Amino acid sequence: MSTATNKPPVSMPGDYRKTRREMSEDEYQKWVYKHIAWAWDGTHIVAGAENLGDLIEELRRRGIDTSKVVFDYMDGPETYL
Amino acid sequence: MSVVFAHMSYPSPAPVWPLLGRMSRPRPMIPLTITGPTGSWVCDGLLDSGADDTVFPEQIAALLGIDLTGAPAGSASGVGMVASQIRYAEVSLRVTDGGDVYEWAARVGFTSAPIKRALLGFAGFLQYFTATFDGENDVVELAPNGLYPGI
Repeated sequence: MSTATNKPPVSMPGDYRKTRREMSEDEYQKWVYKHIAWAWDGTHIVAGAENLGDLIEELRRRGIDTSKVVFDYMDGPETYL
Repeated sequence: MSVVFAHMSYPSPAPVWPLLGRMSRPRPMIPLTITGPTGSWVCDGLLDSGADDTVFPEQIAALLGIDLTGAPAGSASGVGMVASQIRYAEVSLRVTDGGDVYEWAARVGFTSAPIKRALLGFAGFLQYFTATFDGENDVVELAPNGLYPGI
């Protein structure tokens, strides 16, 4: 069921999930164990850092609007519990 | 009406024995927008039926314009985690799969524990949906239930 009317259209990021699925192993390994920010168009990673605070600072330092990227984490191969 | 998300696959360097040799781990990740008084944050969150609360990293509160000073608080622990503080606030959450859009006011937690990503647990999230975890097709479907408040 959709939300109420009179709301502006939802601004959707691009298909970063598809980009992540299709990422080469070499590319993935560049970012593994890092917090990353996807570009809003979903085509590439704009920044990454060991911890979330550092990532936010990096984005700010570069003048990137933190509400216009998608935050993600590139897991290693360990089991989640 | 519902939203459907394919599991995200995380590559494994070796065959995953419990998954009969599959070369990746599928996880129910949901793209989500959390909005506060002055800002929003878009992320992939982990749908976690074992999590009591819906929890975000504490650094996000400032991005949203949320002051956690004096906020309702609790403590949390999980597998391998030491107890950590959670402070709560009311936010707006939005999920969409590009089709239907669901947005609602939710009481969520912010933690200083170094969580890797948002945890979408019962309070504030799963309490409002019937969630179907389809292991055969590697998708998760969320259909709003009678409690879903909408905005």
